[in-house]
Amino acid sequence: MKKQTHRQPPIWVENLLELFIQDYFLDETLGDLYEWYQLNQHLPRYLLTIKYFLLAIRSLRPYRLKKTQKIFLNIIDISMLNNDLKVGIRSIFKNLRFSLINLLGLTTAFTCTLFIYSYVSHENSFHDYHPKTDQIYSIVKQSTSDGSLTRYTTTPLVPALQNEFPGSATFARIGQDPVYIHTGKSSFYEANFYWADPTLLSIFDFEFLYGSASASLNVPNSIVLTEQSAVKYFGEGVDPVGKTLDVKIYDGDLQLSMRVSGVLKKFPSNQDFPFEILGSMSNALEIYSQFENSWGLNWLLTYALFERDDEVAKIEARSNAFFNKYMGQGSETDKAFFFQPIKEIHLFSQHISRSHSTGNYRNVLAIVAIGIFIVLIAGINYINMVTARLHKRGKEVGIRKFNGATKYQLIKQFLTESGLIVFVSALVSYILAYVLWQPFTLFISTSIPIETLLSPSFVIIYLGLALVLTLAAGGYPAWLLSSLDMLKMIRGIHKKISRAQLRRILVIVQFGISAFLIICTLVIWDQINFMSNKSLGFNQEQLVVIPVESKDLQARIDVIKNEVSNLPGVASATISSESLPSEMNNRWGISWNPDERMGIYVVSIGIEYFETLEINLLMGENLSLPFKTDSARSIIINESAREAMNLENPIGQMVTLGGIKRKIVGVVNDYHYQSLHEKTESVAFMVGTSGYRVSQDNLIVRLHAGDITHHLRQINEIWESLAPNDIFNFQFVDQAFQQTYDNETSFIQLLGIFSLISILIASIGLFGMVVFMTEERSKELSIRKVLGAGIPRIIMQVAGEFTLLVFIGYIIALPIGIFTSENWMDRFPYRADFDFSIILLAALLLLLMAWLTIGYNTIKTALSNPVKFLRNE
Amino acid sequence: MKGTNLGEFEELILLMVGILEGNAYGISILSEIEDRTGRKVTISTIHTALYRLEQKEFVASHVGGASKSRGGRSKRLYEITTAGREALSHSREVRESLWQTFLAK
Repeated sequence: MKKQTHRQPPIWVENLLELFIQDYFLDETLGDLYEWYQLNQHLPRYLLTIKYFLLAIRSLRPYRLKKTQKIFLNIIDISMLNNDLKVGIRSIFKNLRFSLINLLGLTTAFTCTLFIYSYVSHENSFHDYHPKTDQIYSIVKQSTSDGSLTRYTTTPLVPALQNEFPGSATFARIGQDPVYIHTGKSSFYEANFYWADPTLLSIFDFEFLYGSASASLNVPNSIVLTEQSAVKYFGEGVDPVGKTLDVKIYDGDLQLSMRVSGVLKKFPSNQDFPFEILGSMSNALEIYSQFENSWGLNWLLTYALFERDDEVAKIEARSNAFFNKYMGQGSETDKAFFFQPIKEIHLFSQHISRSHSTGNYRNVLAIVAIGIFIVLIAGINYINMVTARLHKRGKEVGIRKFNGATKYQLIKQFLTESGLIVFVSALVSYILAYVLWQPFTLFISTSIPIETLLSPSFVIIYLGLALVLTLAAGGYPAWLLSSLDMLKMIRGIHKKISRAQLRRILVIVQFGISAFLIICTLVIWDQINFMSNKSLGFNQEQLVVIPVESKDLQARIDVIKNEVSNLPGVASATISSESLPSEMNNRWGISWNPDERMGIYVVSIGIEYFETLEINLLMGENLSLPFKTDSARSIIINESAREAMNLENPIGQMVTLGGIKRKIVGVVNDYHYQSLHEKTESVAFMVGTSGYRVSQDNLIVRLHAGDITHHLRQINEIWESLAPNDIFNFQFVDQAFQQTYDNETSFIQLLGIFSLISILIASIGLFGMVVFMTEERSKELSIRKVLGAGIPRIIMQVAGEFTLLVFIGYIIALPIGIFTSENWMDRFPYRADFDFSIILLAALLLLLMAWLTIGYNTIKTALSNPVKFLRNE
Repeated sequence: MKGTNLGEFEELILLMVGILEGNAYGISILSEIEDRTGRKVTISTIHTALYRLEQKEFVASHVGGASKSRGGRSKRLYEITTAGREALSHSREVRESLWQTFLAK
């Protein structure tokens, strides 16, 4: 016989046609195509295949096609899906208890995954709704002294950049300047008022509700409102374009009547622009004209739109030379700048000050990891449930094999079964996520739009996950069963398939993961607790800070202070150039001998400051009033400054601070002027007079305990009598400090909930295992009882093994958990000592959960009448 | 009578079925057309034409002749019916008379 050297047409095309073409035409069509294929063997292979495929497609003429219904039936027939489904559903109902355990675990896991995925994709999507988002960057500046990064830039930077690199990019700046706005009926303090270049509106393509980008911000005295602020001032549904608002600019000490030129549509939730109202930058340049050439005042956020990507690196490479040219050789403050893509601002800005970003890639990574863990635990549950029951299915599989089922068919049957469970729980989770969406977004306090769930990419990934889980969870048992010797299975010899060892390892993995999450939660929780409870070095109880924004009032701040401190409800009052927590706006150079100098924060205070805050004076004496001899030039430093200057006894030491000779008269305790996220640095305190370079713009008041509201009302009365046009604002210092930990607090809550869920799913699995084991060993245990084993002994028999597994998981997780959480806390300068009770607490929590789940069945078995299990044989 | 007219391509196929007497099926017709007329046609056009001719009852078909060279698929063999022959000669007569008139000009 002649050897067949011909190539064969691709089988999948034939299969495809088989599916769609009526039987009557099938042989004729396929046969003719086959012959055509053979006739054209001289063509190159790829061409032949393509032509063949096109011919095949063309042979799908309507008159030849099957009825739609029949096509579907065919698909089911070919794959024997029908039968598999039937068997699958029967098996699910036959083992309802185990199926429910699986469904419960998987549904919880899927719901968590949905939430986690939507959270992560939301965090990842920041600023990507701008059409030009890939070309937009934010300027970040690096300081010379300590290499720290900031987003704040100076007024002359952009003109200098345009001069040095003409045409390379479009720049837009925004600068914060709190103002006080009043309309006819109401007045508001607007902390998030920003001056902005008109280019901002063209770079970002904001959508306008009223007005347009081209007509906004390019004339002086024009402002652009966001939708929320427009509603606040003009009411819902009113077009405010052309109307005016009276804007009082505190720092400029100026009152302007500004015309609304546009209203921006409400931003989507995935952005973090800090502004609520935009004013025309031309006004700011005029008001603050003294800063036009100042390379020292940093207050602007600068965005840049590049037409060409390669420009970015080119300009960055020359940034150092640029600063040397414009700020003088070896500039002391600014060393370099670089451009950060705006899409990265949200997650990668922890190390850049003034970022206005709440995101943190570490938290996102942690949440992703937790999501994977939860799915893993639920998947393990499934594998354990199935393998535990394998010996029951062994006979069935054996007989199927005996009757000629191929390995492929067996695997398919098991996969159908796992697919059923997985996809049912995926569906239920989807509905559940819809129902729970509102509470979820409230909980993470981010308004993620619910449409996220419906986006095609989301649905595809979700289905993909379900498929992977089906294959992973169903694949192993399927492979295991189909590869075994059928005779042994039918005869019931299935030592190999009980696979107890594997199940034990998997239980250890599950509880190891749970233990890991619990340990991390506890350690981090301990740290956050430590930070919010640690003594700040001053007494923050009943302490109120009242900002004094108006220049006019700042000139009379002593008057207010004196009147307020005379009130019966006030223990003491003082003034300061810094609020609490403090931003530390003034950093000067200090030198204590000719060759040594460093940067130091400067705070201008009233003499009662340390007394009011209850800060300990470690050495020397307090500052005294300025009219006594020389006292304007005496300063107090904090302990950090003393250490940094390396002075044993600094009292009486003469220093040069801000270009003036001053004497150190005292050293105070390192109190935490900021949250514990930041290390306390060197600070110098001095008594300022009004109109001084460091303006005193905060009134700090300690109230007596009791009717706080009443006390505050009294202060308000004094305020109104002195400054009827200014808004009385106040904040409690302890609350303000607590708020700085909001981010961590919500993260730890999220972590805590997910660890609980993970341990819950693991426990559900454990429950299933115990039910299975007590059933399996009921005879053995009954015989033990008959032979005289006591109830405690039986309980030990059953619970002992699982307790050991949980414990091993815990022991493995302990070092990993401690290491990971300590690593996570690297960013905090002040760390809680490791609390060894956490080790105990985590162990107790785990064992408690484990015992609660296995307890019922264990005791039930131990107490049951042995005859019940033994009489059957 | 609607639907009994022969299209140009149908006529060609019908003639081929007649010529290939007993061995007329998709591929043989395809290669016969290529050999005799040099026309390039695709297999599915031939199938469709055959299907229409069968609907008009100009050809009849039966299944047979599975072979290895067809991947084990059987052929559908077509043969011309009496109606088919009549239709062919009718169309030829019409054409002849038209030719006569044309040449006489």
